[in-house]
Amino acid sequence: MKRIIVITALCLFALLSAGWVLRLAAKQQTRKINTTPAPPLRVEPAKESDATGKTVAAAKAFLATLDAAARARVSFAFNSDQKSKWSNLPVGIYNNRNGLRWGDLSAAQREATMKLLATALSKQGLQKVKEIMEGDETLRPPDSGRGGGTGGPIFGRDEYYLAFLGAPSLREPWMIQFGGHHLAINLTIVGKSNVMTPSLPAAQPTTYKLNGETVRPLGRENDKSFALVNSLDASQQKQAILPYQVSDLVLGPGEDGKTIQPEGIKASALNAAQQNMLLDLAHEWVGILNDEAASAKMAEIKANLPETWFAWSGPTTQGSAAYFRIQGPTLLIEYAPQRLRGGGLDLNHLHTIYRDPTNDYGARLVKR
Amino acid sequence: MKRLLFCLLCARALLITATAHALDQYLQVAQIALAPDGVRVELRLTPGARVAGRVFALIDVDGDGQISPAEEQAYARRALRDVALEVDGRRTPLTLTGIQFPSRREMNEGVGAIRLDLAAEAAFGAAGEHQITFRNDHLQELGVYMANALVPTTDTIKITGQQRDALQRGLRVNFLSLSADARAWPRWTGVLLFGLCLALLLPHWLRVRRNSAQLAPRRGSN
Repeated sequence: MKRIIVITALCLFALLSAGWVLRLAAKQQTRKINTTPAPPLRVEPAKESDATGKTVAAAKAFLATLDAAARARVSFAFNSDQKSKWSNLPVGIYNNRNGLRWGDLSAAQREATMKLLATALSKQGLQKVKEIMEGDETLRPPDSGRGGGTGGPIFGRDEYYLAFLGAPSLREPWMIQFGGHHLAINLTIVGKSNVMTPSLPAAQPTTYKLNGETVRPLGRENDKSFALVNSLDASQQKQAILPYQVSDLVLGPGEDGKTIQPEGIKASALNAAQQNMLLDLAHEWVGILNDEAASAKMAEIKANLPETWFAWSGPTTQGSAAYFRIQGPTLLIEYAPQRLRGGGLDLNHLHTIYRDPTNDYGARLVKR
Repeated sequence: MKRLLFCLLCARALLITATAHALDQYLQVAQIALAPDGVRVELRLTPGARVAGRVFALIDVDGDGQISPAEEQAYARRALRDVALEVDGRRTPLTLTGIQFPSRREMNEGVGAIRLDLAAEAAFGAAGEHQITFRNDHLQELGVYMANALVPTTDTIKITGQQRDALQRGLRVNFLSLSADARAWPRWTGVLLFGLCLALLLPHWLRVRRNSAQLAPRRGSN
């Protein structure tokens, strides 16, 4: 009898121990994927001499060129729903953009806008913005005045809008919104921190001539991505290349606050040279922002590199239309060629998106 | 005047063509969220400008040029019949929890998205591996498809893999569930059971030790 009790107790003990071990392991596993929202970031105060200080000064200089009515049209409350009113679509199809239209600005106001963008963005970022706008100008029918005028889409560099959410400040959160067809720059500034997500640099056409020069607004992104995917060996490509077609951005405009399950190859499975190529590719989006803020963001992306994924869909021959995605804990970049005139995916029409799933619109800086 | 209007319409069609946002396709995007108590699917259906008329005609069954709430419901139910969800290999019914239709103008421009929110109840209470399979066969002759699982917002579910067919009509998601029931156990339950085992084992262990101690000198004397 005693022996039976002892054996039963021993079995119970073994079962409980096994249960505990399994439960602990499961807890450990879920801790790794804990999806609780990222904690708020510390807001460092800005100085007049840093990037925020210079951008605040440039924004105030722009506002000083406006009369009261124009100031009212360009200004929105920081928490207004204007924040999410951006799109890849042209005016005439997407009519929710607000603020001041480039085509309605005086020469002095345009100059002040360009000075503001030149301060807030990097040199190459400003160049990209200009090239996207000039690309749209090539879609404008000649002598059409204001684009279409028939109720359809309206193209051209005049159809880009500038808006401020909140007042330019060294301490309080505020935002610069600049965009139109194939462009959305959403720059949230909170103290020293500058956050440029979500943003949408896109292009159509992707190659055009301007003053005799060939312009490719998203050319480096294309070239660097093909160089990266072709640097992968067969086994790495097998992981990176998705066996299905991706027709559009997964988390494009209107898809705020979502995080898709990452796929492809983890950066930890890349060699050092490939990892540098991945970082260099990501920098094409991050580096639109001024150098000071872009460096801070790149350091964060580098720190998260082991948990960053690279996925590809489509052919790997340079010049083909292929989709790719870079996804990490604080980063999502998608690059999606679009279809043209009933054919397949076309490299002459690209959409891209740049997000930070934890900090779009500076969410981690302003929720306190 | 009519000629001018015709020219303007042609110009507009050309301009829309130039923007070329999947004009002749019906983009159908499914985003799937897993929760301990079930599956939510957000289905976003966007007909391109060139096929919007065909899709509109399917919705506007009475042909009055307007979409009534009854027609919205009828179309949503039709789309619902064309999608299928399996949970752990068993067909699981999806129900409509939300419908949002765009204006006719937005549809004609190729930017109007029909949003359908679908949900299925499924208890993923049992800890271990699970699988859901979602399939969308809605208007296959026009459709291009995208399907993705969202990262779960709960720490009791971990996605371990996704498989799709080449056209993304079907998506299979494998995931691990950490039983919510197990997590709900009071912390002291384990300690109590451990103590009970100890209480049962301790007297036996002490008796064995005592017997060994009594035997030891005898062995030594031999």
